[in-house]
Amino acid sequence: MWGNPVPRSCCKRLCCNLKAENLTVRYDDAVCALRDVGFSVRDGERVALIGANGAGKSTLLLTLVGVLPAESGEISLEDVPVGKETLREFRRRVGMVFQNPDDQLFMPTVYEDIAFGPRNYGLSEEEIETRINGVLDRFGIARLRDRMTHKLSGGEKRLVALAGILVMEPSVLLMDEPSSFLDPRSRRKLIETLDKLPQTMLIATHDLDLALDLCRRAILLDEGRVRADAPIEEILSDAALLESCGLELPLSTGHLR
Amino acid sequence: MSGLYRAAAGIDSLERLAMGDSPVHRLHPMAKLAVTVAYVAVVLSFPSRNVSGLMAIFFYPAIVMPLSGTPYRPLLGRLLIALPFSLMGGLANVIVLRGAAFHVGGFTVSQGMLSLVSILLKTLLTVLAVLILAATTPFVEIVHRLSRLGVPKIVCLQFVMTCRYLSVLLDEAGSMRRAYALRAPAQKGVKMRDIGSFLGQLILRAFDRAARVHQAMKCRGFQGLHPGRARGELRWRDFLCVGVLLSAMLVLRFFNLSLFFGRLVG
Repeated sequence: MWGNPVPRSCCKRLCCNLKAENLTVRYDDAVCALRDVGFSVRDGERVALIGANGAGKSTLLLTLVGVLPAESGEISLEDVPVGKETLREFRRRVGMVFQNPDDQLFMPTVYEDIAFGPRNYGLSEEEIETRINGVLDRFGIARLRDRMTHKLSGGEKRLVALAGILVMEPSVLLMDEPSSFLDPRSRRKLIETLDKLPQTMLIATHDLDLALDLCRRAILLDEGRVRADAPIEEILSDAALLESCGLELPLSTGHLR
Repeated sequence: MSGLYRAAAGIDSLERLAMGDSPVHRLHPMAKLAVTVAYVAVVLSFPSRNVSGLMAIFFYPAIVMPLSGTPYRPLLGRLLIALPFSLMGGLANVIVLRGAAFHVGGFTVSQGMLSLVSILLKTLLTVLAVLILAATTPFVEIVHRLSRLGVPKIVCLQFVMTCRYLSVLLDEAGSMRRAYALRAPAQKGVKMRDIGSFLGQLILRAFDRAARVHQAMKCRGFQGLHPGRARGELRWRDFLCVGVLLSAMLVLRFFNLSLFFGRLVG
């Protein structure tokens, strides 16, 4: 089992190694969403998860956090397999940021929403307040503290949703389309914010330029299978491979070739 | 179409008022909740003939609204929604109770009329008291207090979620309505034969959204609503306010001040 409760220093050390082996996921209508997917992410590594619509990116993320049940396969963090007993602690250490912040921000105010996770894990109100102020200051959004969540702009919602996950001090961040709904400036700000974070990241995205900015490695999914797992420059400059998976060369790969 | 958007935009106007700052806002939520419940009970306990007594109990909104800086307009608009229901009930009394209550000049006021006025006044006062509570106390605080008072957590969670997602649902309905209108420019509203699939689509979208919200909650360790941030202890100021207001209500309930002043003047 992972050390429990985790001291803060541990998160800085980032001792995590997320591994998935032979994951197969089938939906009710017998459509196979993931077939034999396997990969591992090292400590502090940032990995882009790319693929066309319906390739299985979101399914993979949801399966990793135990929201969708896998038909077969195993997920482990630091060599501890995820099971019924370890799922709760696993979800504290592996934070998932959803594609649509409106799905994630369900408490009426920003403070209450960010406090939601830590409260579920039984932290004291003083500790919660300290953590929330810390994370809001880090993102430069302290002024949003008492605002109502549904009145925020798209960029603000995204940052608050991210803050709600980071406040639990996870060691791994899973993100589903972090740049969707964002204008260019908010997108740039998000990339800068993510770049400063020490966490291990698995980022599912269509935004190949964002992937190129943040990640050194990419996993390319196609129809539920891993088609390639290699350095990101290698994958994003392989026009034939991308095309066969329903993708296009990103604009900024010109300099890679 | 614009109606739905306007409803979505204005739905949180009370919540925005509740974020304000005034002596009333600063009172402990539990104190305000207790006063509101007591006030509603006192208003409802007035016999239907005692309209003059009811008039005196107007003191509460008359003092609290200016003190909290609550504007009248948004509250009055919401009051009007409640009135038609009690009006229908009261009208039945006008037909049934035809006996004379008293005479003013040459005009006879029947018991039914008196009862109608009393029902309308009671509706006005109780709804106003609840609106004042909502306009001076953040909704989450009220729900947390209710939860501490023993209201089942599942019910409290329903309150919080409804408050949060009503506007999202209205937005969704608004954009569907707009998409419909743009492809059916010549007609007003949604055609009867399309209403079924329109509403069905909205419900399916709501289910999808609910499933995703639940997933997000599970990912953050959700195991039932947490009572939340304790907002300090009740202070002497809170007790004093509750004490003064409760005694004033009781005095007005059992001692008809309007009649007393009326006699003094007479």
